[in-house]
Amino acid sequence: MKNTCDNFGEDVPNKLRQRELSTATDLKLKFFLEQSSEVIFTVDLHGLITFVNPAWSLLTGYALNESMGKSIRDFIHPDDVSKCFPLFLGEQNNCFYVKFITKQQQIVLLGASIHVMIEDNVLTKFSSLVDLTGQIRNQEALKKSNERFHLAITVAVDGLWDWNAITQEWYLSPRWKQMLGYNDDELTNELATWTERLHPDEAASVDYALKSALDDVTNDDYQLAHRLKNKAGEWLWVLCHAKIIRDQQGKVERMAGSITDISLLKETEKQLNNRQQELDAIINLSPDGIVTINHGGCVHSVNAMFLTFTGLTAQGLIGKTQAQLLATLKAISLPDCPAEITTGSVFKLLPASIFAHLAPQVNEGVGKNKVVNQLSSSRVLKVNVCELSTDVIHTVMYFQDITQEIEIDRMKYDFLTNAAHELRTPLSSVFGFTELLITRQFDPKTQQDIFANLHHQAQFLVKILNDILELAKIEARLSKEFHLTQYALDAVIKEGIALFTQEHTGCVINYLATAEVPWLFIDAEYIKQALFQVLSNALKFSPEGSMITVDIVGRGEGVYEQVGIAIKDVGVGMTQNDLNHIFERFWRGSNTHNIAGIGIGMALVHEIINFHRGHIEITSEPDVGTEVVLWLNAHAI
Amino acid sequence: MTDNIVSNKRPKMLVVDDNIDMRSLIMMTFGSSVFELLEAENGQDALKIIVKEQPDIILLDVMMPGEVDGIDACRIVKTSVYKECCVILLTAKGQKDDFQKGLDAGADAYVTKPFSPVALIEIVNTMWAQKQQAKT
Repeated sequence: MKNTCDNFGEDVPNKLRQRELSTATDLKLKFFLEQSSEVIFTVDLHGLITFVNPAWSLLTGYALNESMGKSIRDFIHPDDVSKCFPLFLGEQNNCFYVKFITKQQQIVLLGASIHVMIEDNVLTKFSSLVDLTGQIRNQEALKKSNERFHLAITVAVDGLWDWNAITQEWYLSPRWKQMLGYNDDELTNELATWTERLHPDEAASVDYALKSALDDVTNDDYQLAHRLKNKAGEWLWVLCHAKIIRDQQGKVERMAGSITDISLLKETEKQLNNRQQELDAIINLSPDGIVTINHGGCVHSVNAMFLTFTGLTAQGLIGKTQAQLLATLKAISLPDCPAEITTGSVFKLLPASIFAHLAPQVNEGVGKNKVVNQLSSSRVLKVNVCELSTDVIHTVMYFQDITQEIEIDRMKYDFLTNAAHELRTPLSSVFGFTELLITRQFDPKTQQDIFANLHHQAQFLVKILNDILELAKIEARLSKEFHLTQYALDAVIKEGIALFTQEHTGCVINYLATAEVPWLFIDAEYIKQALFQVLSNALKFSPEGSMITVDIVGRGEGVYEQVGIAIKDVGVGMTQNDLNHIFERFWRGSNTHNIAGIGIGMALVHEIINFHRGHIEITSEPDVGTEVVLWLNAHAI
Repeated sequence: MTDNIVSNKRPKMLVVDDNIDMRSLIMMTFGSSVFELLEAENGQDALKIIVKEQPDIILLDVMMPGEVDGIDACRIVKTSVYKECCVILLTAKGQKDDFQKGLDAGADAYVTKPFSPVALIEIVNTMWAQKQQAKT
């Protein structure tokens, strides 16, 4: 091969000349060689020029005869000789840049191509040169503009970066590095500088997002927020935004963009998120029901308390229109429901909708009067509507549970009217009889009877006064908050009994703890109070010295679901009519005429047990006795 | 004091109150020499006596235990064949709505406790005189 090549190196031009370009093909070749703006030449194995076309003179300034036989090496810029001269001697197709020095001592940048052809085992090699100086000038202009650009970006807030997909060159602006706490010279301009600093949580997503952006030929935009580790080892949130530049085939040529420090934004976002969580917690712990309405007039959210109040589900409410919400509320409210949900609207919910699952089973005792109290008072919700100016929520509806307020108001009213009633009856006697004494003459016997009656009325007034004072004390105690804590019921009952026997010396109470009872969530003070009241009644309505029995009973599958405190007496008992009214305040049984009291005890017990979500069962038979069972839920309420 | 009673026969008066002291006060106020006095301690008993005795005047306590209170008893009487009798409601309650309830139930008069026996006599007399006039 080498020999062939040697021969050829000298042979080909000679042949070209010697044939005198006789054939048409040769004519064409000659024309092409002479007219070509590309330099076409051949060298021998030592690099001596054996042929050049006229374009050579235009490029180098040297005449053809000046150049023939000279080594190509003599024209190569000294910087490129060691690199490029051997390439001209090689026997492979090749392309490379080379700088030549012209006759006018100008440096020109040339693109050199070595073309090798083998035909019939004969190797033909020639080289071509293209002037790239013009292109380089453009590049220099570009470089200058780049420099200005770089100047601008060193002072910019955002860090800039630039990736040349063809040369795989990376550029990271000084500001880019500064943002991470580095000087420009501390970090190299390469991809690794970036990737090494990615947060492990986001490395994969950055890689994926970048690949997706690059692969999608229709896309020239890339944006992603991620963290970068700074020099101090802290994580910095940056928003990376870039443009992808593609060639006509969609191949990526370049990608350049910026990174913006969004740590503050992220911090704010985090704070907002925390605040949102706080708000969510507050909303869900709120004692008020809260419903939010979006700008479309539909339910956006409901809190836990609203669902507790209404027994509705979130799925059933979210997305409903206000009209549908109103209709839903109407369906579970008493008939006097407001026509719209506005501030001041009051919804009285049907009790069944809330407490249906708490309805107690009643075991009817044969031949005995029986009553089971139920949570009959319906929940009353008062609405407060607040309009907001936020983007998402237009209206917030607060549903305040005013059942207790209404109940307290009713209790106050009942108390005052009933107390007034109680006072008026003896006062009417005093008033009437004294007027008769003043205006008429009576015989001494009648007069004596009237005075005795007046004295009796005065006594009665004193008793009423004492009862009212007692009631005031009970009410004051009842007005304190309930606090449910885990207690051993057994201990609470023992304490309650001890408290009672302290005040009523001589009273005998037989306490049997039949059922073994787990600890219960109760307000021990109030349970003791309730027990005290029932015991007072048992004592009051029983013959002196008779036995009162207290027991713990349980019912339910396996572990007791309900635990009861049973108080049994052998007293006067009650009729069904009495039982129907027993939980009403100021109600007094038909056979209580000679017993002090104004009818408040059982109403209080009822309230206490209601609060515990329990219920009361009373079984009674006139002249046989009464059994009261205070049922409590064994599970936490 | 019974001059206005224009009848040879003693008019029948039914006193209904759950409180025995109130009943004795009222009966002492009117005296058995002028009225034939009847008493009942609740609404149900009162209705039975009304049917049996057909009293001319009923003094009816409003707030009574049992299934029939004074307002109920008044309404029943005033919508029955015994509606000609005078019903005077007597109660501890003095509220406006109670007064209205009494009127709605057809009561002829309404007296609140404590009351003056002298004034009550005047009211009963006036009422009775009007009834007698209306009859003739």
